[in-house]
Formats: sequence, structure tokens, C-alpha cells
Amino acid sequence: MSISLFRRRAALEAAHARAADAEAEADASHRRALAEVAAGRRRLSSRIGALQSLSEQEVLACGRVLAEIVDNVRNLIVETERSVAASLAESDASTQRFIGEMQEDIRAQEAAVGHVLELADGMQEAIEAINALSHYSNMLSINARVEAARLGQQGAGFAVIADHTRELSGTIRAAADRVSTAIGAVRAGLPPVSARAASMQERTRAFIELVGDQMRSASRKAADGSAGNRGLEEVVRLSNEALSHLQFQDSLTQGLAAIDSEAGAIESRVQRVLDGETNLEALPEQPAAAGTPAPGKITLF
Amino acid sequence: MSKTVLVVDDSSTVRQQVSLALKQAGFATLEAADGREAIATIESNRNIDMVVCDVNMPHVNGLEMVERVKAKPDHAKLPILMLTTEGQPSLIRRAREAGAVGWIVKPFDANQLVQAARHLTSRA
Repeated sequence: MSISLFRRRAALEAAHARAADAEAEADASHRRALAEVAAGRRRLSSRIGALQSLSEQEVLACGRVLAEIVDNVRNLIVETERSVAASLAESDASTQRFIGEMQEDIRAQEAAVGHVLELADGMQEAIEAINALSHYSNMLSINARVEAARLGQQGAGFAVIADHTRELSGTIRAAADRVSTAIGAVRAGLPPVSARAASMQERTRAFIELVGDQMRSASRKAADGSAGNRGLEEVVRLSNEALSHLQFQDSLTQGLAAIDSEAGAIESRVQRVLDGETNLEALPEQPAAAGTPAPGKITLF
Repeated sequence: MSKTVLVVDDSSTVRQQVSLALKQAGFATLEAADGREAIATIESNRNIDMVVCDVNMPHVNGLEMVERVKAKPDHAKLPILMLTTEGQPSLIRRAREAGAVGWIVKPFDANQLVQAARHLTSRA
């Protein structure tokens, strides 16, 4: 073999060796690139998963807090209404008891006045009997005086009796007149007292009706809880609005899943390019759906 | 006695949000994470007055669930309201033909959902 041929062969072998080294290096680069793409894809998927998980947990926590707020407000309203109703019932019972006692006092007062008037009537009858007795005593005194005059000296005893009897009759009449005057004054004074008692009875009855109406009205309001219910409805309405805003998480999850899917498609295409594929088909476009109802719109069939 | 609504969605947050809105309006709620679980719940619970159901779910999707449930005479009158991000007319048509009573595209308005639930459960 000539020296020239030997040199050409050596050069050729060296070139083969370099080519083999280059190919090995290219293979290694290819594998590194594939590994890096796959690792990047895994990191992306992992971060997407972490984001989905985090947003889900946070939104669920918000939902729980929202539910707790509404429950607390509902319990507070129920407790307040129960407390107000109990206070009203207690006030109502106290007021009714007080009013009952007042009515009882007024009735007793009226009965006492009536009793005094009856006594006055009875006493007036007694006075008339006493006056009749006084008149009879006076007649007896006159008769005794006439008899004493007819008997002369022997009738002196009758004269003494006649004087005492006349004096007794005058005393009885004077006493009866004083008692009669006093009874008249009592009888004159009692009707205004009785009228005032009747007036007080009437005003008490009106007051009872007024208080009763107010109590019943307050109790009805407490029982139907209209104010509390309106407040609770507003809290629930606001809670529902908040729920509407919290729904971003579902869209976020779906968006992140779409990103993950797109990343998977990209990884696949990168692998195919690295594997030497050159004629890749175009990625399909997602067509926009026609006639899609607006979000939130409720279509009942 | 409160009406009972079965909420079917693979998203735990959507299940919570729908359930919360309905509970605050006085409904009782049950939950299922997919169509298969929903069918089992409907079969085992005769007190369900209405179903609110997603479309895209694992195992058995919402439209299949409606078709299977409505195929049984016992559940012919059970109102099923679809609640989904989907809005393709072909899907809506399929749901209507399967026996669903309505379609809501997410995100939903909780106050309107409650009104619809009251309407649908009152006529049952």
C-alpha cells in the first residue's frame, strides 16, 4: 500500500470517528432536549394542578365562610325575635296584672260608696223613726201637762214628768236634726266620688284596650319577624351575589385544564420535531359555537 | 316540608355554590360528583324533587344521565335542570329531547337559579 493511500484511509477513519462522536453527541443532545421538554411539561402540569387545587380550596373556604355568615345572621335574628317576643309577653302579663288590680280597686271603691249610700238610707229611716218618737214624747209631755193642771197639787209629779219629757223630746229632735244634716252632707258628697270612680273605670278600660292593641301589634310583629325576615332576605341576596362571583374557580379550572392540554399537544409536537418529523399538520382551531346562550341565562323548555 | 334538590357536578366548588344558594332559600340538598353517582342516588332516594346537573362529567355525563333516568317511568316527572359551561344548540336540543326541563350556562345567577328551582318544584 502506498503512503498516499495509507494517509487517505487514516483520514477517512478519523472522519468516521468524528462523525460517530458527533452523532453520539447529537443523540445525547436529543435525549437531553426531550428530557427537558418532558420535565418542563411535568413542572407546568404540576403548577397547573397546584393552582387548581389552591383555587378550589380557597373558593370552598369562602363558600363555607359565606354559609356561616348567613347561618349566624339567621340564628341572631331568630334569637332576637324570640327574646323580643318573650319580653313583650312578660310586659303584657305585668300590664294585665296591674290593670286587673286597678280595676279591682275601682270596683271595691264603687262598692264602698254604694254601701255607704245604703247605710245613709238606713240611717235616714232611723232618724224618721226617732223624729216620730220625739213627736210622740212631745205629745206625751203635753198630755202630762194637761193632766197635771187638772189634778192641781196632786198632779205636781205629772208636771215634773211633762217637763222632762218635753226636754227629752227637744234633745232627741235636735240630735236627729244634726244626724240628718250630716247624712245629707254625706249623700251630697258621695255622687261625685262615685262619678269619678266610674270615669276612672272608663279611662282604665280605654287604657286597657290601647295597651292591649299595642301589645298585640308588637307581638304580631315579633311573631311574624317581618323586619328580621327582610334583613335575612337581603343577606341571602348578597350571599347569592357573592356566590356568583365565586364561580370564577370553575372557569379557572377549565382554563387551566385547557392550558395543560395545549401544553401536552405542544410537547408532543416538539418530540416529533426532535425526532426529525418535518411535515406536521396544523393545530385545529376551536370553532366558536353559534347560537350559544349567554352565561347565566336560564332557558326553560 | 322542604323540597330536596340533587346537585350533580364534578366540580366541588360548583356543588357547594349551588347547594349553598338552594339551602339558603330553604331547600334541602343532596350531592353527586358524576352521572353514575347521581343515578344511584336517585334510585335510592324517593324524596328528590328536582335535579340540577352538569353536562361534562366523568363516568356517565349529564346528558346520558338524563336519558337513563328519564327512561324509567318512576322518574318521568322528575325535573332535571342542566347547568353547564356548554351552550351548543345540538346539546341543548338533545337535553330537551331526553326530558330535561331547562338549560343554564355557567356562571349562573344564584338568585335566578333559586327562582327557577321554586318554580320547577312547585309544579311537581
